[in-house]
Amino acid sequence: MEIIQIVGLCVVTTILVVLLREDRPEIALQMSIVVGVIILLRMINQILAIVEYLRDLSLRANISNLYISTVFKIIGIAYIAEFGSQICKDAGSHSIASKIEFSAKVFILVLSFPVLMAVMDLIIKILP
Amino acid sequence: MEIFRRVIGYYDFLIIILSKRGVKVEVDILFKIAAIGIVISILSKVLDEAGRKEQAQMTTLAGVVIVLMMVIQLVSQLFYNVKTMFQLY
Repeated sequence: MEIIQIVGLCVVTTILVVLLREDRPEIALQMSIVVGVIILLRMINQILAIVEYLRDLSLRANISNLYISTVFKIIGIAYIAEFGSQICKDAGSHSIASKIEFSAKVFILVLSFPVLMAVMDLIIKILP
Repeated sequence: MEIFRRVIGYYDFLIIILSKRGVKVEVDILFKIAAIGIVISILSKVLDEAGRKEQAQMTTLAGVVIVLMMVIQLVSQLFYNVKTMFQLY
């Protein structure tokens, strides 16, 4: 039951953050960063298992490694960008958060262009 | 001294409750940061009351830098983990 540990950790951290927010907002912000990192580090084993399963599934379905690795890269970029933009939003600077999201969208678009090109090739091949 | 011992006892109790599987270090950092924040805020209030505004400011800055040092290590660990997990090179 790791979920109980995580919920307990989050509740305790929230109490401490609320305690610190009036006097030291910067340290409260850093505490919220640390709790996000700790939760991800605890979930790593499960996420790795899911990634392995997806890889296995794609291997069985004969999907090219290019596509599945693109999907994983997109998931990673989205996670990191979400992490950063949530921190910026917590600190009250929404404009920087939206810039992070913008750059993540551009990176994802760049990564997904080869897949789009493959789809276009397929369509051209199917069309007489 | 008695109150210190009692506080440390509570702290150990909390750590034992929160970490069962050798993840003590990670949870430890959280409480360290909270403790630094509380101590820094008390110190800067005392220094303000004593009329030493500049030193209070310096204390605040030092606290932020110390906490940032800890946080940056954890965040770099997170980025490394995500990079290796999703093969983002």
